[in-house]
Amino acid sequence: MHIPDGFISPITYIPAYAASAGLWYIASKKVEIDSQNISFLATLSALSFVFMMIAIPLPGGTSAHLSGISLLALIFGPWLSFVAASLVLVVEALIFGEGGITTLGINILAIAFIGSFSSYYVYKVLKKRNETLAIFLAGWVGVNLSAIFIAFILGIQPIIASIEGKPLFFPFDIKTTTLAIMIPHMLIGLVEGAVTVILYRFLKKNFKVMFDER
Amino acid sequence: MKKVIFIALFAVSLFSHDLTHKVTEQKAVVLSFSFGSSEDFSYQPYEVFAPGEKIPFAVGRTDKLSRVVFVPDRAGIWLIKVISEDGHGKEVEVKVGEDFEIKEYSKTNFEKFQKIFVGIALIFAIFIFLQYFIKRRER
Repeated sequence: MHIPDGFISPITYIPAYAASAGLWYIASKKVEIDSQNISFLATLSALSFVFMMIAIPLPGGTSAHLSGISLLALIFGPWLSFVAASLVLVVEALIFGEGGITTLGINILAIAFIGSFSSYYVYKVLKKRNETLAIFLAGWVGVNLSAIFIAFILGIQPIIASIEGKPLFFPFDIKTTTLAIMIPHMLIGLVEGAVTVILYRFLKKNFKVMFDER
Repeated sequence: MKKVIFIALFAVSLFSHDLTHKVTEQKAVVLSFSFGSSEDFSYQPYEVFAPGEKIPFAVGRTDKLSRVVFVPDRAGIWLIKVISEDGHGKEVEVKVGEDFEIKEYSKTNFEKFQKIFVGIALIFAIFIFLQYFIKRRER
């Protein structure tokens, strides 16, 4: 899902960087974490990193990956999840070349911000009806809303950055990107939802201290 | 005259048993083996199997620099087995493309997961720094 360098026009990635920086500033004001919780946050951030590095093959020859961000959002809240996931994306982009440097702002908005907040609010709205379903849908929606944003950003490139009808950056239109990105992510969302349910239940049972303080 | 013709025919048959040779430049697959330190894996037996074959395409010993070098004659997955007398050994699969380029090869577990190991270590290192600063602020 990470967009590499060269796919996105400056007219898109510069505002995305500005928006990400703004969100980081707000997060720095809102986030409060004590030193006792850092080890859990570090462990789940590392797990998120591992999930993002493992490509799961899908029918049709494509692959996608889990993110683990919904788990972070459900346990630590959306702002702390946003900060931790952003950190993971920065490490991936700067050290491993997973996702571009110029597109880091977009990847942070899509994966860390949209992923964290959508997962958290889906869970919050639905948890009174059925908690397990709420956790599952938090995972599914988090992955798919991030994917829709990525598909949208890629798909508008031919419209906003082309000369005489020739695209300067990503060449495929929004219909193509939506189909190519959403079909695999609708499937991977099922795995993300299931993994989120299993890990959330496991952590709640075995590491109660993480939940008691909230 | 009969004797001369007989000798000439005999001489031709001698030539037909002469081993000829030519020297060409070709794309070779080079596998280097080591134990990760100064210990090398030189002069150890190896077998190279062409895709789907049971009889070795090549057999020999690793060279002074612990390498197996062979020139594939077809695309597909080639299997290379190296076995030393002291029980060390390895099987490596090399996928050779249509233009005899190396498409992929079986990697060691460290090679496969080193990105993940390094990433996890980095993330924990960042959080350890964060914890240090938070603890200092809490004091």
